[in-house]
Amino acid sequence: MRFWGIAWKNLVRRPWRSSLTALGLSLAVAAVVALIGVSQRLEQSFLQLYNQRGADLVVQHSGGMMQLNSGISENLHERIGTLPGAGQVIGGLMDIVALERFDLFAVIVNGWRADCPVLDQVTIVEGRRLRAGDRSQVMLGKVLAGNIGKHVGDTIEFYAEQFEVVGIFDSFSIYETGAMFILLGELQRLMDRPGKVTGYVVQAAPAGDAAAVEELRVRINGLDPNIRAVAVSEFVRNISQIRLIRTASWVTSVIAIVIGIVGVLNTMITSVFERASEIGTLRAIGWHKWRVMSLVMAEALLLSSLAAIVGASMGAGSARLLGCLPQLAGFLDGWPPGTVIAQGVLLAVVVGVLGALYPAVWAANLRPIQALRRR
Amino acid sequence: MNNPPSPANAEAYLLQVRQVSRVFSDGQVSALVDVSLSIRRGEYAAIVGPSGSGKSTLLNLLGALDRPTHGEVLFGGRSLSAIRDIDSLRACQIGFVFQSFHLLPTLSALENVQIPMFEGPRRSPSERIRKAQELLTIVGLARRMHHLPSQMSVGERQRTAIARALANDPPLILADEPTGNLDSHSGSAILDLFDSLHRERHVTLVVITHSSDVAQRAERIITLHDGRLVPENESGREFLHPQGHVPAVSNSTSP
Amino acid sequence: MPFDIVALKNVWRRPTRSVLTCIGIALAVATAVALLGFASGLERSSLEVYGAHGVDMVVLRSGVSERLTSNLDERIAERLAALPAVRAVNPSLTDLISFGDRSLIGIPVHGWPADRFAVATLQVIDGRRVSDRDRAAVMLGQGLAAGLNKCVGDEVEIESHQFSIVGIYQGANLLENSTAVMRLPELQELMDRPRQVTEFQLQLHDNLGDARRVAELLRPQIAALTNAQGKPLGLAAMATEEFVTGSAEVRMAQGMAVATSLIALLISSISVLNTMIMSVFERTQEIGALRAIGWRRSRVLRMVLGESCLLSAVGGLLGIGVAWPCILLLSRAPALEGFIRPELSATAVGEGLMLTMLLAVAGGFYPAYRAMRIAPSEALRYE
Repeated sequence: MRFWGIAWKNLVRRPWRSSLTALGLSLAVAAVVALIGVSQRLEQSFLQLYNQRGADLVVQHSGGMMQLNSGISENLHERIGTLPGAGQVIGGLMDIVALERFDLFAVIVNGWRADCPVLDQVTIVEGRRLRAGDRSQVMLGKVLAGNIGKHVGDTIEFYAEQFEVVGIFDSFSIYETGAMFILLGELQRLMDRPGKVTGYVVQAAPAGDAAAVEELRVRINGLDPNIRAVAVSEFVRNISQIRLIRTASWVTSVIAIVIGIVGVLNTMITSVFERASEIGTLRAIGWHKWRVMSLVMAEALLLSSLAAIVGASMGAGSARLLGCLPQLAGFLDGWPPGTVIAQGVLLAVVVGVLGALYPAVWAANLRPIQALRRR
Repeated sequence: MNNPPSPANAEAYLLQVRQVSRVFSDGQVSALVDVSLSIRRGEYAAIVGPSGSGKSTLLNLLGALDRPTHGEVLFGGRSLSAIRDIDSLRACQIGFVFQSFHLLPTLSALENVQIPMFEGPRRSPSERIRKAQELLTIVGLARRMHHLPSQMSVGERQRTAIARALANDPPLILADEPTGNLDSHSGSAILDLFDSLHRERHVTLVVITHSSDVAQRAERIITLHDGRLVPENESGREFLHPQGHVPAVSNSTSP
Repeated sequence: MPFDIVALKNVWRRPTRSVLTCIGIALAVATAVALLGFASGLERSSLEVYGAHGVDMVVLRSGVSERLTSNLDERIAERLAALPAVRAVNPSLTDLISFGDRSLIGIPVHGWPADRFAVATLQVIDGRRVSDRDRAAVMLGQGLAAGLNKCVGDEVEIESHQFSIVGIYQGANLLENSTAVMRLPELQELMDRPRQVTEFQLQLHDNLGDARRVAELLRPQIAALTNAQGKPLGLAAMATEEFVTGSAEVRMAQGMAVATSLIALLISSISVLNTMIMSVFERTQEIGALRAIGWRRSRVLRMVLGESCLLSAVGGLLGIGVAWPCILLLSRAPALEGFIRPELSATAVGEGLMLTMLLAVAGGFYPAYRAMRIAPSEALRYE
């Protein structure tokens, strides 16, 4: 028998205590992995949406906290497009609507010009794309169409008006497959924002050259004091909804972890206290302090590694499942980032080991004759 | 016994207790007052006395589990207070047998016996297993090696504890009421085991006991009363007799 | 000896374990009480703000998920005012704006017409209300003014424009104290949202009887309003209460509070389960003896459940005791000023205690069941 064998047997031959301790810790870790994973995944998908389009800059109204509220003139399209160093410019108006009949409280509506490259970049899987002259016509993303069970030819109601589904499209981005597209002019009318777009995404030419992007950014900012161009990554980081979700998930995670630590400390301390006479025996028959301490720490390490694996998989799994809910299908898909899962694993092990530190020191300093007298 | 202990007889005496007193402030544990005695290598001694006479306190001092308030205890001629690594001494030189066994409930007999070997001379895991099997065979548990303590009878548990005490081949075995929790049949089996250890392996045995059966097998009986040693010529075996009265001890400051 | 004393003594036999379990429960309950209290405080505070201005109903664009993204043409106000039950209409544009050098971000700023009831019902404590003659003028809530360290006559930078402070008002509560008000056209211009408002606030005639019933009657009338082309205006009217409860901020706060509390309670119910099952395992022999001397299964069940209730109740009370000073402390934190009220509502305490009992049963039931199944013969085993 090896040293780790003793630690292992101490755990598996007390199955209830071990599994409950591990379960408490793994729940805390699962909460952290799921929450942080979801918020990072949201951000990641958003960034991917812009990056895949080759966007370098996002141009928006300079003030206001809520990007969705701000609007800038659609006439800027040509002015930005003709700036030296500017490549493709895509301008669009965006809104979030509720389809209460389908229990969907946040569906993205994008208004694009009929000649917008986005309409060509998505893959039409049914029907046709929007074209100039369409009015009460709408294209649905594949995921959204699936969730509300609509096909080409069906009608759908939002903004208290009826729209005809003319096409269903697929895209690389979860934000588009869960969204609907209508023509810009129509959305401006519906939102009562004539001549406005929410913003532009601009590609620099040549693409990807940091210096060129920065030059272009300065030029765009010079066009109009009311507009501001920012790098895509900065824009995504500062989207107020994403910031809110990030803050909320951090707060929740911290609370979960604190409660997890108390739970682990509780079970570790009681498990060591109750075994005082066992530990006293070990000391009496000649085990050194540090070996007793190592035994307690080894048990904690084994237990928290187990909890880490279980917790991180539970967390990742529940984040994955959340993406399958119709309400969230338009925003969330895939597994949480690997870094979050790895951090969750590390966190569990650290919490477990920290939780065992006090009991381990206590056990090591137990005086054998006192411990043997305890029952 | 009356010889003043000196380095010269360190060879002869494994344990020497010099004018040891142990005082407890909480009063829960019985004290010892000015006890001096020596135990030869290979001796089989029984410590007897009524409860509260300080037997366990003396055993704890002999086993380096506790330190005397005054006086000193020498192990192989060296003062225990001068030994830095007292844990290693307990692991390698002393084997303990407790009244309530104190086996680890999560480990099998074979595993329990290996516990002290982590502190003893370096052995590979397979050597540890071989040694533990050998010891369990000696105590007659060759067929119960993989049982947990809860799956064994109390007699078997105590035999496992004795095998554990022998793990590092210590010259000294200290036993605190080893048969106290056993029925008479398994009790006498344990005592036979002690006899053979003493005879064949020349182990020094110090056994605390209430029982006359145990004391009669020992070569020597040390009697304690109220924390003091009763002179051996005065200490009657009648103390152990069920109807025997406790001898009155007037003055037993030093033997 | 009364029965519950037995439970108390059993729990006290392992003081460390019991105390640590109680701390775990206390933490979970404190979290739940504080967060649920925060969410309901937010809801009540927003309701109070509307109440202070005498708003009976709120009209939004139908089908918007966030109030701030609701866009309505301000001219609809006249159509609403023409409805017989409506006494007054206040078109309101609200946006979250950063002040000064971005040290204060996300301050709600309301754009209100100077001559309507919303401005008129503001309690001015210094200076005056905004009037139609004002240009680049702003009124600040008391808390915001203190936070910016500004008083009447000072200038303040909003979205890189200079505004002069004409008045400071005392809001209905901390929430309103950290807002600002300017004239509707000025906010529309500042945010580049000409003619747009986010909501209409309605006051109803009070001689029509029960306001709730009137609101119910008014709702379909407002939903049915159409434009000149006969197309629906797409309005949704809600009684103030319904509006506040359904607002994204309140829903978000509640969702987060519920989710966090759930996680906290789940983890601590596992710790109750752990403690209780260990306690039952340890006492197998003892419980067997109780059965042997004639205790019914139901009494054993009650004893173990009683112990788990006792643990949870002590933990829960401790948790409420901890939550209270935490709320006090949080409500004083400058960053949270206006969002947390320094009070512990009876409902929050009630909820906390209910959660505690839930914990007791969730964590205690299986151990109690195991205890109940112990046979009297167990008394003789495991020596």
